Amino acid sequence: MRYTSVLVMLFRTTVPVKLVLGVLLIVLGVSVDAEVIDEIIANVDDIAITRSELLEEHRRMREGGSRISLQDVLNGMINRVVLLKDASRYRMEGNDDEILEQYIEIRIRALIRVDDKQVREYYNHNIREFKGSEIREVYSSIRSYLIEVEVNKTLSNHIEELKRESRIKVIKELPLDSS
Amino acid sequence: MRILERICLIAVIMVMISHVIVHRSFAVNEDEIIESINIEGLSNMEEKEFLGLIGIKKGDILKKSVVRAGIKRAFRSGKFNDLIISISDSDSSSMIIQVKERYVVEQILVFGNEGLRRKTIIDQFEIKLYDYFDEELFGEHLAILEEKLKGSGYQNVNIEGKVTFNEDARSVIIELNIDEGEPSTVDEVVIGGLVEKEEVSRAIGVLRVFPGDVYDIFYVTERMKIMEDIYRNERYYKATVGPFNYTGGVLTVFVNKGKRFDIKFSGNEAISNKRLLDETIYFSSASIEDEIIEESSERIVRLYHEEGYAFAQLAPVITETDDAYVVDHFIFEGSKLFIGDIRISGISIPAKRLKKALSLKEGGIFDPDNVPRDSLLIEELYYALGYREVKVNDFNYEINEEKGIVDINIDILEGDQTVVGGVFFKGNKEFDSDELKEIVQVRRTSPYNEISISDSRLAISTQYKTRGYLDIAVDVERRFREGKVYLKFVINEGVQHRYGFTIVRGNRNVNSRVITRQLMLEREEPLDLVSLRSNTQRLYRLGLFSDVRSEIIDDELGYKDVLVDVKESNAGAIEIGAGYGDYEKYRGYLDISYRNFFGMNRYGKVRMEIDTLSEKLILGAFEPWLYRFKNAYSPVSLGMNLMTERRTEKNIDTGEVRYKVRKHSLNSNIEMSFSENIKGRILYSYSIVDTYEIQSDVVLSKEDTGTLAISKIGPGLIYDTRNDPFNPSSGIFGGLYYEIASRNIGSETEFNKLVINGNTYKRLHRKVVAALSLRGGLAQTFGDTSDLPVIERFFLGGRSTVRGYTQDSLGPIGVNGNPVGGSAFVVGNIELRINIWRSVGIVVFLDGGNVWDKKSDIDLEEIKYSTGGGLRYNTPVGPVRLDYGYKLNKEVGESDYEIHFSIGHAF
Repeated sequence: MRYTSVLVMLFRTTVPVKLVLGVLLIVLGVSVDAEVIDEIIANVDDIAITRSELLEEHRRMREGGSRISLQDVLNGMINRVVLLKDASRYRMEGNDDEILEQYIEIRIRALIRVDDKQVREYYNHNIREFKGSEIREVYSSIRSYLIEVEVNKTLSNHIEELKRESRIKVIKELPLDSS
Repeated sequence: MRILERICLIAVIMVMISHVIVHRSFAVNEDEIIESINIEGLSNMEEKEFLGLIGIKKGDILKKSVVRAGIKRAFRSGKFNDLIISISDSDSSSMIIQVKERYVVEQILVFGNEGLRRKTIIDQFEIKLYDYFDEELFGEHLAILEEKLKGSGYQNVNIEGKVTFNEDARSVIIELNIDEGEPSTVDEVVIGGLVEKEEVSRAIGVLRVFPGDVYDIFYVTERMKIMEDIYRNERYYKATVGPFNYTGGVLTVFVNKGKRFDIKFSGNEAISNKRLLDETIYFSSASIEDEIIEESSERIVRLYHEEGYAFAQLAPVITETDDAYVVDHFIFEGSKLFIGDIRISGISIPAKRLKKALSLKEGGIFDPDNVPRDSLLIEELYYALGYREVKVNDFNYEINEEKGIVDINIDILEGDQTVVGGVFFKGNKEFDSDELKEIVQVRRTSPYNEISISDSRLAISTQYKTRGYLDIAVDVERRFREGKVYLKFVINEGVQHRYGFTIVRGNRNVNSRVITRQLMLEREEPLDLVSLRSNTQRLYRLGLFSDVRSEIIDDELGYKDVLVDVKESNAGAIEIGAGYGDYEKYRGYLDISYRNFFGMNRYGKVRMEIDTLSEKLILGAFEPWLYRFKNAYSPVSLGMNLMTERRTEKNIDTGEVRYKVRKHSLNSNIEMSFSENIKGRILYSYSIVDTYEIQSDVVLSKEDTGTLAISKIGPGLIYDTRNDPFNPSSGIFGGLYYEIASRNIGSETEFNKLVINGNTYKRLHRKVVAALSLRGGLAQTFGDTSDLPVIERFFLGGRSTVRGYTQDSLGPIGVNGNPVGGSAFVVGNIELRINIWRSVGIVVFLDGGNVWDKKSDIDLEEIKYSTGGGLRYNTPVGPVRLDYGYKLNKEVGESDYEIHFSIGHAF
């Protein structure tokens, strides 16, 4: 009951108390007399992402030294679900990480082509960075780099496309980051 | 100031909400025992079903991981928008589950439409009755509907949608308020591309759009497609109808018929023009390009080869006229060839066995295309027998054109046979090697055969999948030594998966328990994939679903869940039927049934049957799942019906009434399947029978007149391997039924009754099925009952027993010539069922049987035989049949034959 009384006091002078109180009680749900164990925070089609999953993932990343925000963690989780859902069509085996790896390999990386001309163009445009190294010495590094750039770009577009085809909903307000 | 206040307020609220949630999520104390569960917001699902889905019940220890898995699982069912699980602040053992079910569309109302039919609007609207309602997409659906109605000619249509939410029932009522506006109409129809007046008016006739009609794009497009099909049927294979335009009330449709294809044949005598034309692909490809002509010519030559015209040749010539392309096929057929001798050399196995495997048969038609095919067949047969190096050394034929005979010579180099020296297994833990040896199809000393090895791998894999090893991998190592192969099945069992939960989606009216119980999976037990597949198939047989799909998904808790998607079909049915039978003449019935009472697949029906001799009213109820014993193949079911009937039994020969019966009965049947083919049942029946207007010679005992209560009970065992119950072509159908009527269970008459029947069906040829039936029965009275009441006696003769005789006319006869039935009977039937054309068939049969007063009177020499034939027309519920039965033991005064007309096979 502690939050309710504060809210009533705050709203008294500005808006109809009953209305606001009603809305807040709905928003807060059982907060006034119950402690939430878990709840749905977002969904991708029929896959729910729960609050405990989100916070667990956020904590795991923070412990790894990342300063990533809760919103970004949620976005990452949504992207992952979207990709795994599409990957399920390909009947791949392994855990989620292995499946994602195979999926990206087959669906994205296998379609990327970096030709000799692109490597040479990149070398010529950034020749200063190579500090006098011959193109043959850095050729494979440049090629690998360009492939990675292309994979990231294509993957990002692919995710956006999959997201457009999916029904994604964030149904709860995100808690503020607890650093 | 107020603005600042509001901003501060919102900021405070935001902080509080987020803080509260983060804080609360961590404050829950795990390992607490849940003593109470309070579910809020559940309307369309039973609490028990919901808790089963979420996997939490009273007495469980609180685990966050279980809560999370439950939430995710329930959400996956597609029935919820939100789920929150909390623990009460005041009582940490009290769980609160808040759900927001999805709204279901309960009603769609249409207002304001005048020109547009309600059905058109409802059909075009993508939201359907009983769909889940998604408010976010509602506007989009309205816009789509508006576009569609615009296409239907109502360019100015405006739709306002209103949704009324019923929070208690979690349902919505949708109102579509249609303002049609003025529709666009067609003032004139112009056909472009056609010159002849007659052709233009014919095209308009086909288009069926006339001045004054609403300009409906969908309708015009559909009619244009029909017009194009008509031109194609007239062999204008490149005809195009369209595009079209509509300007200022004038609808213009452009037609380009193109040229007709004219396909001609000459020189053909053995094969008709129609058959040759059917063989070509000109029409299906709508082209006479070179490759199409080539393919069509090859097909025609192949057809000739199949008919034995090995020298057939064909020359296609194409010419172009003003309105057609003509393809002339000049054919040289040559003479038809038959096979004389087939001589096979170099073989150690019997030539007869090899010849049996060949497509080319001695005395049969010679098709040269079968020569390479048979060469391969010989090699495959030898491979199957372990001859790995077999080679068809020569396969030639000598043609005697004068006689039209071809002799075939085949020389085979067999090589050495390899047999299995031993079968070993590696990596198996779940099954020991002896168990696996029983499963595999290869045995020591059996010929080395890759097909058997492959089948064995599959059999091992399937066996493992019954125990939850879903990722089982089986490889085979082969080691050849001194004409023997040593096989080692290397098994990688993988992880044993256990079943968690079943998530059912798409069910609105059927309770999820109907589906989960049918799958017969036990929680935390190894997931039996083989049973799951067969039980999923069984779901179709419930008659509740038009589509069922199942998928195995990973559970958050490490189990395998089963996700079942169903599409419900209509559970109610009204059937009205009429027919004619030779005994009861005209008959009809009305059957109203519903198979999903209380959402539990409970079946109820009312059926009325009437014919010229009887009236019957039946109230039936069926509980398909009364109880299931642990590990039983199927549940125990209970069927009950209340029946009242009035029946007149006639002497067909004289037309006189033998007796009349009024009967009220209650029948109950407890049934259970022990396997796919065997089921047992216990039948109880209580009847009050009033027999009246009975011919004096039919009366055998005092019970035969007046009212009599018969209470009887007995078990039955049924064995059924028929492939089709209505029109079987293979399998056995047998039954053994016993019943006892006794005063101890309220009967006024006492007797024992035993009936045995056995039918077998076997396909002798693609179009011929042999059917054999043997039936017999014995009844014996006891106590102070001296004779069986007439209603319980056996009668024989008629359409399903001995067809040379009228209905029930065999056996003991009363002094007035009326059949009185008996206490013992035997009947046997042999029938050949021959399909002659599509659904039409004929049968020939031999029937024999008779009825005797008592067991001691049975004399097989008194069996009455009849033979005959009949016509059949197959329908989905069995054939309509007309039988002619001829008496083989005709007595003085009897007719020579009888004709029967009815539905369904005789046995």
